Amino acid sequence: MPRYRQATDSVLKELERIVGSENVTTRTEEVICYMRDSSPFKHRPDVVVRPATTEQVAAVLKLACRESIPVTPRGAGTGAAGSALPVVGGIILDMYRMSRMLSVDIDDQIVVVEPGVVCDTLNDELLKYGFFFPPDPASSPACTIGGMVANDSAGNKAMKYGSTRVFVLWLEAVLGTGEVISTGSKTLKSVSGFDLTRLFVGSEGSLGVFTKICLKILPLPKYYATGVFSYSSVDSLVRSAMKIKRTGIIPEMIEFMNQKTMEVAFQYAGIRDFPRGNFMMIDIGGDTEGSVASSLDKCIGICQEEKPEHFEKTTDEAYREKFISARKAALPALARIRPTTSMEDCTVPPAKLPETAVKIEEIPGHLGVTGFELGNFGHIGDGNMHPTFLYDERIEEQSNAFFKALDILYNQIVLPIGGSITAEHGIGLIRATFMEKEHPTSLKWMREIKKLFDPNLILNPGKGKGGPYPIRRE
Amino acid sequence: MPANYASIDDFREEVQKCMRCGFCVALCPVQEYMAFESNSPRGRMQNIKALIDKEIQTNDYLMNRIYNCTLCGYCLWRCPPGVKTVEAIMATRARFVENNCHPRIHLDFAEATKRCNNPYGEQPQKRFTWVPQSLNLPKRADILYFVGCTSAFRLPEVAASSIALLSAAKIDFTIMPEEACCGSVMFRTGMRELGKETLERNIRMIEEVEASTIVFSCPGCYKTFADDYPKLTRTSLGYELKHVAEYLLEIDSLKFTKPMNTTVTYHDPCHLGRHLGVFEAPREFLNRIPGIKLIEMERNRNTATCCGAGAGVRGAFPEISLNIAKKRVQEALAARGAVLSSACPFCKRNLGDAIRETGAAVQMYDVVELAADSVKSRNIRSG
Repeated sequence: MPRYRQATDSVLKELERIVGSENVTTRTEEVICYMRDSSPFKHRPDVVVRPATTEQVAAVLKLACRESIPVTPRGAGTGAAGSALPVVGGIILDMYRMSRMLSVDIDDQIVVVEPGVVCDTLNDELLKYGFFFPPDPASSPACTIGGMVANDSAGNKAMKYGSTRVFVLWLEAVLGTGEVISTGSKTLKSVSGFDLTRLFVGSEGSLGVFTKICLKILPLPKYYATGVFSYSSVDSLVRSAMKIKRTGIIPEMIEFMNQKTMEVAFQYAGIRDFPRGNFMMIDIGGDTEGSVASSLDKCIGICQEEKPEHFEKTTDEAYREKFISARKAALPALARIRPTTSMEDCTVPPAKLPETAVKIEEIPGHLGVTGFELGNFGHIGDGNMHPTFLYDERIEEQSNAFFKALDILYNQIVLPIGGSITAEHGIGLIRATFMEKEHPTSLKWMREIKKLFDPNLILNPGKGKGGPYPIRRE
Repeated sequence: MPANYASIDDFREEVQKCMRCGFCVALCPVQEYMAFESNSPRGRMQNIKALIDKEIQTNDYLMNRIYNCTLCGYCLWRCPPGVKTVEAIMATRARFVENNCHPRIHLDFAEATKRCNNPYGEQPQKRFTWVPQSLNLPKRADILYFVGCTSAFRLPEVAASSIALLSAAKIDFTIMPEEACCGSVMFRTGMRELGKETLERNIRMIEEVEASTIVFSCPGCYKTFADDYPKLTRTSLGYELKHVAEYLLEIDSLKFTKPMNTTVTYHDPCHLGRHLGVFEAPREFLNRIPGIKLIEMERNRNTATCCGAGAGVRGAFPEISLNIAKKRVQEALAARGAVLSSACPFCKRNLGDAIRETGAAVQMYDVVELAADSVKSRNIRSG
């Protein structure tokens, strides 16, 4: 059982020596800001530290390892699973200062960045070259590349391009001992050695702290054509998506919002004239105008079999962006409805989506708790949905209903049909208790792997990956 | 007028809506230059929540975080749950003022306003020294030009240009010789009682003018009348309120004759743009001026970067204020405009300082100055 210590005055002084006193704080007014992410949990760090270099990160981790002080790395704090919350206090490593784009190499088709670079900032830069980094989480205006790598974020375009792990070629990381390692190669192909890079991607800060990241980039499609649909029922919408997949057309995205989500997201994005219903967006990208138009027409023909209430197609970039903006704001826009908004992240085999979507819609009805509501949206192209529970965490009955809803969602709906408890948000705190059920034979090996890289178990303790360990603090 | 001040406690449910998505953080103009998260809108909302829940108390450290915000409203526009960040911060500032915890210079502004009717502490009789003696303005007129303290005392060229344009357009207008501070600075810095007093004083005088319309060259004054007053009183003023450029565009009686032959990039003032929704009128007004080629900065309209001056930040945090202005000037340079133009004397002043400080190759003018230069006959109406 790990025994963690608090940061003493002498440790604080040493931290100040490493990163500068202006980059270390224990003030309540600061600590309050690092107690939460987008999950419903709240955990207080003892100290917030803002390193600027790999050497500083290494020195902080060496010190923390020696003193058995837990360290939780944090990017933009946009996670929805509690992955960046310091369950047993200790040090929050705020990576915001490490936000330089180190190189863009179009011939080699790679970029090297520090972990604090914001996803949209990277893509704004790459746009100048006609390239992009495809993973596109809804939090892209705020989330950092380091956080995306730690979570293996995916987002809207994953059905075509895959998640972050597909694009991470090389990492520099600091282990729980303070040792600096690099994994992989800054080349598009390499099979030398075990694939430690992929092991680190999605490790949620439990194996090491990323300090430099090399990513593969792709040329942007030259043309887009977009279809937007409103359906009266969720199952006919999901059936449309499945039928499109059978054609062999792979859109950039097939996105979904249920009616409750659509209404608030459209309100945010200023879309007023589109008929309300369950919303689907199909975005086709390609290199010729004709090919994207004909693929979209084919998709629309298929969708019409399921009788949408309304559909439109567009190649107008501004109009398309409005729908993308609405879809990206789905989660925070749902926060207009109830005081607490908790997003889940389940994935099922796409063929099972129609029945899953219907069962998810029924969860609030099963619970029968007044004031407990559901928004739902997600990436139905790859079987990933984000049921989002809307309630008031300050009311005990509703807070209890939330945990019952999690049990129904994962234990009764997702896992029995071969689904997974997370597609792209990570285990964090919120799904830690379901890990054993999904990985009954491999969880112990995950824990063994963690010990290799973090023998004192100081890195992000208490989380699902490589844990949870029984936690005790002196 | 009966006051209807929102207390910080009224924002309990509002800040609870913040689900910490972080959309507001990445492009917050202040956060970019500061260290820890408490300097971001999300951090401020967390601290305001803690203040409401009495987990923390007002103190100097937090005061700096609550007061270093320019209230530019980018976070308000960006926030998907629609948290009223700007109003929550203003109400929080009022709590800080109640606890006598606020930047010292804001108290100086308040004392100067009590003494001289303007936050600069200038003698009231010097307010209109820039008005041509030949100009004989009536006591009553259909249009009242509310000049504002910054134009009157710091950038008289903006006020003089506005008057020149109204005159050239043959408008039945006047100004109020006893005009006082609109109260904007007081409302933004949490000194609401004083803001209310000075606003009321103006309103009493305005009634005597019997105008139907009030025009402004300062968006801070415009917002105070158009937004603060109704929120404070739950009634509207009953006057048409317009920016000078908006008004002149609508009446369309100006004859621009002198070609300006330059490229202009327009900076949206936060109070005029994001706060009052006036984005297009100043652009259309500029487009009426012959020889002006209008080009946009990458960040424009709702996404425009703040000039850094607003909400008492220029006075209390000059370094932050200037850094933000320098960034905006860089954005203007990237747009390759020969002229950076705005429709706000605060923006002109702060961006102008940044241009001087950095030696940037761009000139700064208010839209009314460019327009006035292009009006062939700048006859000031004489008696």
